[in-house]
Amino acid sequence: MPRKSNARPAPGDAKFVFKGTVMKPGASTLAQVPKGEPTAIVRVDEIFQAPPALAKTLGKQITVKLVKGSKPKAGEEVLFHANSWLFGDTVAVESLKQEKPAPSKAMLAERVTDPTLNLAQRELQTRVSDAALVVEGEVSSVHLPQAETFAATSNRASEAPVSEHDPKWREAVVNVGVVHKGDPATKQVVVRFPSSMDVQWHRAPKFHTGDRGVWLLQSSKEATPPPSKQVAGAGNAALRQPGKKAIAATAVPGAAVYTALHPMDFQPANKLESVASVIRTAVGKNS
Amino acid sequence: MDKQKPAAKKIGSKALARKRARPVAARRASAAAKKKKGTSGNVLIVNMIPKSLSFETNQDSEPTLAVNPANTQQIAGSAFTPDPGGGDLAPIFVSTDGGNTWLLNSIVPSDAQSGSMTADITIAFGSSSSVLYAGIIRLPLVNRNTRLNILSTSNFLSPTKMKVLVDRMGVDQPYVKAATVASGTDKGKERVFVGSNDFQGPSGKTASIDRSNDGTHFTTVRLESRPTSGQDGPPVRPAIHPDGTVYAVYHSWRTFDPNTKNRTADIVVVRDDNWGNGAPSFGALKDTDNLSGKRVVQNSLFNFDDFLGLERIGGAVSIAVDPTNSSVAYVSWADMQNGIYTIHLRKSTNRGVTWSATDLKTVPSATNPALAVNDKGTIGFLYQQLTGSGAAQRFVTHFQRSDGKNWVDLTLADTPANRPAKVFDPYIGDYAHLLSVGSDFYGIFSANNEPDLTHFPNGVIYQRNHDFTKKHLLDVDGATPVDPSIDPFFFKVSP
Repeated sequence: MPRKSNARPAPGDAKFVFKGTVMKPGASTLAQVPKGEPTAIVRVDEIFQAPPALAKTLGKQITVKLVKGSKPKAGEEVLFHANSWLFGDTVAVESLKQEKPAPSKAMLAERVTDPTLNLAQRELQTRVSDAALVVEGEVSSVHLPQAETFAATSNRASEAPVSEHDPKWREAVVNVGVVHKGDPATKQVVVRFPSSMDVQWHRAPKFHTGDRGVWLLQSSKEATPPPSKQVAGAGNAALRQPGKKAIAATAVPGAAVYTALHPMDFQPANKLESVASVIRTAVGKNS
Repeated sequence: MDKQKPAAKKIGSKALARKRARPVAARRASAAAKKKKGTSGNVLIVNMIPKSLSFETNQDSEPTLAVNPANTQQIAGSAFTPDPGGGDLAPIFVSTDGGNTWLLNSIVPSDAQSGSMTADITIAFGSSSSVLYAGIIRLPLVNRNTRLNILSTSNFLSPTKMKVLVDRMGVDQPYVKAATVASGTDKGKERVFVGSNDFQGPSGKTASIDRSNDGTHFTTVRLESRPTSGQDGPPVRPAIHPDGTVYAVYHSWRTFDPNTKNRTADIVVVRDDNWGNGAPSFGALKDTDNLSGKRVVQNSLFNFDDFLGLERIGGAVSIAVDPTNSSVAYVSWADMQNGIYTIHLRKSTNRGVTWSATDLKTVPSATNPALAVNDKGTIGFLYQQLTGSGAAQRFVTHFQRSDGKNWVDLTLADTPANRPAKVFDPYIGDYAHLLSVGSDFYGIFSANNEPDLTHFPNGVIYQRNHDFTKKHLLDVDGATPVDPSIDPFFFKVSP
């Protein structure tokens, strides 16, 4: 059964790109694969791009759920663009696109020693493209936003719901050095970050005075919640918004407030050399 | 889908080598043989990380479990486990051989930018429908606001993304239970209950249940009837009896001291006698103040920012109903007793009207209580206790059971409590999970995964590469050592 979703992943969404040899059409390395699925056992011969979990399949035989209607023969070499499906004793992936692996200049240019690095660089380019502002700088101070200060010193419980998933916002004031993308309008920007180590927030970078590097910043205007599926008795549908006053930076009144919530949104100074070319390329594509 | 248990038999070494050269079916037979050799009697404990993920070092904490009562070979599990493929769907663990072997299938809505995982997640099968339900906090968040999804799938092995039944904001810690009506005019209808802390509840009365009479359409019921200190606590736990009696227990917050950050809460049990369709819903049990909800204990003390070792604590509750008698229920909770986080267990035999004046069990320095009752009326009690001090601290995971006269204790795991280093909160989980099907108890807990057999006095099976002699985890190459981490462990205890 093909993976169903409201939007089927496009071939460009494939995270696992590899050249493989079909060993056994109509077969599977995993007994749990439902009968009737169009699969083949494929030996992974060369990997061009992969998440770490799939990079380890090099040389191994895996199960590939084939593109509908395709019928590769035993011994045939195929270039697969795929995503992961099942992880058991072995791995099953779902192919989004299959083509003949004739080497081209583009293909050779993309070959890297570490296919996971290739994927990571692509993802970094996407983060740069999506960023509102990309700057190099240094953290001069870290503060509590006004709402958090109230909660900490109030003689009663916080106005916000008490939850183990509370982000515990902090504000880092960044002195801007080099601007790679966007226009900060001020020499300092404020980066609001969650100091919480809860499962929901632990991946977000945490900042300290003296931190130096490159920030890929998103504007912190309130995101619109998704439309609610109607549930009877759920009360007023309006979600309590934290309040527009929470957006204003309290550390530097008048400064724009940004967030950097993805692990890639902060590149420390000691890694700048390895990511500089990626950032320049991504910024160049967007200008 | 393989519905048969693998044949359990002894295998000579040469034959075993031949079988290992063959695909999974042969490995399953080998696993069954190891089960007999490596576990004690009727106890099965399995590390759930599959062989192809032998390299992983994730902190797979806060597990839950669901067993399909219509086919107990089908079992699903969940934990804070990201999709290894880095996609937009989070995984569940699935087994088709009664828990002997596991694999990951990513079918839960998520977001690659947010780490390809969920926040809170619980799962449950209908009694006879084979439909798997899930209650999740879906990532990414919107500022502070948590996003509830209630999901379902009719085939947990399919690659099809789970269907979204409910999608709304401002809800914490969804906890799902499901049952299929066995007789009467509604025979075959699915009843689903998702307890949660719903911040949209008016006037700080946030303990809620989303309930469904058909497994598709949901109604929110407010459980709290008394003033709170601003809200109720995260845990709201339902328990369903086949005759339509539904209990729920929640942590009803009463006071807050801003100087010490200490809080008090009542442990409140509510009940409905008709699948949540009572008038009012869950209003069948009243206390002496004539308000809905029996206060089993009042003003229990806790601190929402406290820790037990590396594990955060802040109040925990669990409830179970005897499948042989819906008037019999058990409740467990945790609070501070003379500065020590302590678990309590009590019983009611009259539908929650009164509860045992003293504890059936009192466990100091423990967390994650989980309860279930089997079809013999035996109570099962799971918890994780912190022992020792300093670097020598251990988390000891106990499963105890009682027929009403004697308690039998099983140590499922005795593992280091301070390694590996914590990556995020919760370290091992805000909850573990226990359930019963027939006479069997099934459960899941998270713990340090060092392959040291002394850590598992009742035996354990590892799918991921390991060396029990050197006590090392090994990569997919079977040779490179892998650092220890936190893994989910499945267990089954049969009479």
